[in-house]
Amino acid sequence: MNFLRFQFMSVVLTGLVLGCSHLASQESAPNRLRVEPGLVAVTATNDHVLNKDYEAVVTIDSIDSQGTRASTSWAIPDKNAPDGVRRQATHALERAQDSQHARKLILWYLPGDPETFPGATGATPSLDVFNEVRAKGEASIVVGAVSQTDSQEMGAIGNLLAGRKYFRGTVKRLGNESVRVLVDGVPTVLNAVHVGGTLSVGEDNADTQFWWLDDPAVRFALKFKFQNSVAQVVKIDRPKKVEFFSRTSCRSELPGIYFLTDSAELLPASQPAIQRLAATLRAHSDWAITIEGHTDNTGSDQHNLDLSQRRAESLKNELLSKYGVPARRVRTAGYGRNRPVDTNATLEGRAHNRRVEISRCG
Amino acid sequence: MRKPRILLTLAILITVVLVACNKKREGAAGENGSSGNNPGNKSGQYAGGGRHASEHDPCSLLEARDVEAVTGPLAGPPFRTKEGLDDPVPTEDGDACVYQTPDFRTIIVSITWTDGATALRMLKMPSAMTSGTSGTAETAEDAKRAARKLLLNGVEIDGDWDEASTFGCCEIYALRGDSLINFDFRGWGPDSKRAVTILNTALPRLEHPLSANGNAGNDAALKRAALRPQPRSVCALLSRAEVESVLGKLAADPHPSSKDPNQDCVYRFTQAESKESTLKDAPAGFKSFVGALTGGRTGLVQGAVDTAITIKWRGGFRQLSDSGMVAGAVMANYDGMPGLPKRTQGKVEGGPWDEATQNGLGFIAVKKDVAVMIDSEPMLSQEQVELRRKLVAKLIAKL
Repeated sequence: MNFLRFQFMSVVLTGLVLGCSHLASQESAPNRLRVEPGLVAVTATNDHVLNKDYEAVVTIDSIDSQGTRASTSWAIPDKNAPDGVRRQATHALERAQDSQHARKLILWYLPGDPETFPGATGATPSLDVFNEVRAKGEASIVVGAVSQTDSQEMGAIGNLLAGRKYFRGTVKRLGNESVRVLVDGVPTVLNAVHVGGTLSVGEDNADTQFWWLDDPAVRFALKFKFQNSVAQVVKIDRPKKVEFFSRTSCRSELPGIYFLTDSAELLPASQPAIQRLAATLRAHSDWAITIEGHTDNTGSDQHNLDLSQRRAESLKNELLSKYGVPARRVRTAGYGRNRPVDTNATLEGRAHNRRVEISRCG
Repeated sequence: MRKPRILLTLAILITVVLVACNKKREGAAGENGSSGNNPGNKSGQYAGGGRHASEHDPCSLLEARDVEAVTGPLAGPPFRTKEGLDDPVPTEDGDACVYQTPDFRTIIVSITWTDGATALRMLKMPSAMTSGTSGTAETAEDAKRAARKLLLNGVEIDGDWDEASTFGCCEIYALRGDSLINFDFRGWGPDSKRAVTILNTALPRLEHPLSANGNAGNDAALKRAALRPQPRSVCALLSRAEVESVLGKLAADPHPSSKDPNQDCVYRFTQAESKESTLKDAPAGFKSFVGALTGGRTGLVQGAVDTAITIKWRGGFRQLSDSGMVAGAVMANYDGMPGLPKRTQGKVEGGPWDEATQNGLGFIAVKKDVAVMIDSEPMLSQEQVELRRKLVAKLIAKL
């Protein structure tokens, strides 16, 4: 099994979510969005061999004069692990000066990497590069990535052995495209500058494309393609208070809940949302809710039913054990893939279908 | 010391890779009926390491004048040698290029033209294997250190590399694209900033190497090598009378400690008592450690003692760098000193040597790339250390 495929999720680290301004939204325009501490972005990439989407959850920890710090959690399959999953976590710092001027973009983070790469950003371009693309239609860049050719040749430990090569070349503006992202659980279409080109190192060429948010005031990579792999931001959850139920509905999606891929393990980034849910239940002592787990359509029916049930139970247990919510007020249900709310044909659609809902419909 | 460790690591990893590759290919064939899912046809490229070994001349990144701009005049044109040799002798089609000054200091450049990213990855493998995750700093101090630029010989350095790793005071592995330069200036000197200016000249040329023929410098280098002090019996370098004029009456004839008389010579003499300690400038933690051992006394070593002079006839400047690193690592245990010491620490001026240093392991002086070392344990007093340096000075004059 090619370990590298799963590592690909980690490429979408800080670079995809750094910046300090708002995100413009079009469809279902929610409040304008600012990239700020506490913001969580979920990135996804599809493993076409296993037909499974793998997610990485990135949390902005701080933004100051030094730069932007972010934490990322993700999981990769590991047959040797007791539960079949190996947990990964990383902390990254993108220095402020690199956000301004760097021409190097690091798409791949490897075990043993330092916290920061001086002179480099993540998948998001520096302001210099972004402005150059907008003004001149192209920019020369360097992209640090693990070549799929190398990693595939080296088999199961290819990720550990294949080093990060630096591909050089020019990317040109190919036009503007829309990228659909769930912002606070609401499908939102964001306008992106689409750039691409063939970067090379020696005889190794890489078709490389980026979709950068078309907003000079904010740096945000929404999606990129490197060789045959695609990574995309599928969810952005802002650190804010949310009302879980509208006046007209007794059912609500619950944004801000994150699980390890293919696991019922809640990630730390879920705590603010769980805390808000617990507070809501405290404020409405007459409410009883059902936590419903839902999945996308990858994997078998039985697997998805089981996973969705376990995820709902996991959230319930958190409410009970950490926040003292009485068990009688929380029920659970797992619906697997049976109640999609979006298409299962796209990364972002499947991300939408992988969700938790709460219901107090009785 | 470095190369064997790397080679061992590489050998192990290459074995693992080959096993993994074979397994994968077998698996792919079994599952899919063919091995067509494995792109590329580079199988075996990691096994021999020779596929790209001579793609370009290793001297094609730096002209003599590029180096001379930093080091001053070179002794001759650059020449080729084999990477990893203690004594970088001229070697036809060698995979490393040597830039040599008139006093036999050297800067050695070797290049992995392709698959350099993998090579660097292997060099970093120990930390990669142990950390498990990327960018996870163990402590706040680790995080701060990681945020800094590459630290070498006590100074921050910045270069035109994409990634780099350092070893000891004076060796950089710099990756650009998929090519890796091993820039080894252990045999030159400790000025990292100036050394890196040479490396920075070389790095962009990885994409467009100069036309060069490093072999053309080999003959001249061979002739220069003949002018170097030739290995001979260490005990024969100084007469007994000459030694006794420094150390006092010897209790026995000087004799080598091993079968190789060219390697060292042991002198037995009576050491006088001394009150002053060589530890006066040592880190507090180390003084405390020694004090505990000696009951607070210093200059302990007295009476009949053996002292040995060891000579490394080739690669003396590199030995100087390496010994400082080892000594630094020892001292760091007592001082909490982060990282490795500067090569300039303990530098001793004013002798007949080209460069000399005193560190926790002893005194080492280098002349024409010949290293002369004498032990001087921490318990020795300053006078006792000076005595040994005098003996080294006398011996160096005879080289």
